[in-house]
Amino acid sequence: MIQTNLAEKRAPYFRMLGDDQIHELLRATFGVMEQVGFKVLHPGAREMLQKAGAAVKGESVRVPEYIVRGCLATAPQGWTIYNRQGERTLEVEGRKSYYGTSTASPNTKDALTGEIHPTTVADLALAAKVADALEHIDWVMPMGSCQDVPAKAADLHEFCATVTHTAKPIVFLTYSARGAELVYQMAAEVAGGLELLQEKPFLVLYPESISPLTFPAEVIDRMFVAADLNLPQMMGPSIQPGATGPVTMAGAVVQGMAESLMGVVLAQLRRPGCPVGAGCNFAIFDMSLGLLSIGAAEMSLGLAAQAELAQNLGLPTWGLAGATDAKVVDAQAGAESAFSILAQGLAGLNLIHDVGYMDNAMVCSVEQLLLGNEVIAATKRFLRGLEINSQTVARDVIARVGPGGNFIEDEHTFTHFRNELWRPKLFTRLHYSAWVREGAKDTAQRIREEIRRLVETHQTQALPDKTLAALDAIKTKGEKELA
Amino acid sequence: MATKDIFEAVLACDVVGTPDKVKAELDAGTNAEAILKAGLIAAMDELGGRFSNGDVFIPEMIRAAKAMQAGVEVLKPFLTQGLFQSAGTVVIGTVKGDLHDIGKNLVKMMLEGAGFKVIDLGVDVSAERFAASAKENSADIVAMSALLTTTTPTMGQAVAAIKKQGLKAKTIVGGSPVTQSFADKIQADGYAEDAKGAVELVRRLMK
Repeated sequence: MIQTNLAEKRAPYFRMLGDDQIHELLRATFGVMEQVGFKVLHPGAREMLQKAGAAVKGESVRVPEYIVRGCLATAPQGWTIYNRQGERTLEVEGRKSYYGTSTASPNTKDALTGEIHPTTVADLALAAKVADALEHIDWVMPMGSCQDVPAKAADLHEFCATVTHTAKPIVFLTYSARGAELVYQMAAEVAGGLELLQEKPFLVLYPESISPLTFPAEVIDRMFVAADLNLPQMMGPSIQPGATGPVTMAGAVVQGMAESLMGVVLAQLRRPGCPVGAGCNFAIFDMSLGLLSIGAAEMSLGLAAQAELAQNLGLPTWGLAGATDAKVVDAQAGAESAFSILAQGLAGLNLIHDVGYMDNAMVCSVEQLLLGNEVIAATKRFLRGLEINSQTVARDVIARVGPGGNFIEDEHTFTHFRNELWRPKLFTRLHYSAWVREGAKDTAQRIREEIRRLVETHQTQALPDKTLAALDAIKTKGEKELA
Repeated sequence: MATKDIFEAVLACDVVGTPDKVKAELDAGTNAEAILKAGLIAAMDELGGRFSNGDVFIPEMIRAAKAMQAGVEVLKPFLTQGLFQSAGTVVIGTVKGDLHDIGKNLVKMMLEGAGFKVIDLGVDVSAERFAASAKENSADIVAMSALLTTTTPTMGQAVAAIKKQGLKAKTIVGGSPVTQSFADKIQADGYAEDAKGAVELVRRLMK
């Protein structure tokens, strides 16, 4: 048989913006960059921008469109990210979506006890190990901001704990430019040398500017470290509509895009061709409490819209999903996690972070991470869509079984059911009395049991002793230096 | 025309109408203190209650406070001296090494709305500058904010400097990496977990 023009597979997806709307928002974005500009607190960066043709006056830098376009021309439209073993793992481009953990919280919901306490290095080590075991978590971030080590060198401890306990790609932040340099030194040790690291990068820097439109010197210094090494970085400006950006989401998206593109400009002018993504975050500012919220529906709306602008320009994108403002793994945690994970998968965002975030971004939680992992599994099944071919349409099977027949014993079911039907690992489908017999456990309890099982049974591929010693040496020396 | 109309104007966050109505009421012969109490202060109290109930929100509180302040400006020349003074003087800033200020700005706006005089030192403020400003302004409170864990040491230094100089200013701290136990450790006089809490804390410390 020959059949023309029938697609066998299409994945469900959504597009939010029409081409006319994308055009409108991008015009506004370039307008903000050129007419409002940025506060750039790094004298060297200002000089660089001025030489490139930007209008610099004091700390104010206004960037005409042609400079941005020039930078878009040199910025790679996608990156290959490897794992710690040098295996190709992520293609950060187009509409390929990968989910990653949360980071930076001063507190942690203890993986084993559920108690909320200040984050420790041990928490991060455990979180990395569990993340390493989870099938649907593609990459990790150090899951918290350690409070039990000197603050100025905490990033060294955080990276060390994470890279030791997981082989998955790492997106990381540091608290200083020197911290970034030292983390890259550690990464080079792991990769077997800087050249190998540059050839097969397994880590991505994550710098956050300050909204509205402000680039501190220290943030730019970190960006320059990554750019000079030609190692990938993903911009992370974080806008709270109504507080640090316009309350109307379209305006917030424009400002976010402008801040994100400024990151691309800074990186490209520093080193043309270096990998840099047009990431952006929206966190909803609660107008009653004055607190940041990470579970709101509008958050996914803003992220999806900003990503469509970035996709239009051909740049890697960033998301924030699997997060909740709930303080325990309850119905709110489930609902907020599922909503954002599905919405952003449908929107085709590339690196979707913060699976595991709780309590207004104050807590990282391995429990929430496991919940997210299950939701992502379901999401992946959904986003696989429908396969349409003669096997799956199964006209002959329907005919064979006929009216009143059953499909359970049919060969077609036997052949296809494993591939077709998703099986939850965490969510229950037991008969009620069976569920009671098994202890009447809710999802949170079953999650805790699964965490225990993973901690006891999962083995991350260990780093060679030589490497561990080298990391330790860099960490110790670095801590003294940064004090 | 009555103080009730002024009350309603503040509730409606009418920044232009409120001072106009205040002026009209003064011209009609109503006592300035009565306008202040029944018109302006009563309205802010009512709004405070609605805000606590979650029926009125931050942007509305800020705008209503602006309306009230516009009304107060018209009244000032007519008020018995000393009747309307600020509830206290607060020096506020984000600590050295930190440029994040939205939380600090929110606290500042809410303190001003509550009738406090606020001296905003901005961001990246050293311990010395906090202490110097507290001295210069005879501040009742020094309020310090941070987002980055690496910058909280300045808070301890500022508390120490203020104590050493024997200034009357009480110190309060806040921000994501700040906790009650950190505040206790550096011997700050108070910690608040959000902007509303900060205003309540300042009121308590002023008593």
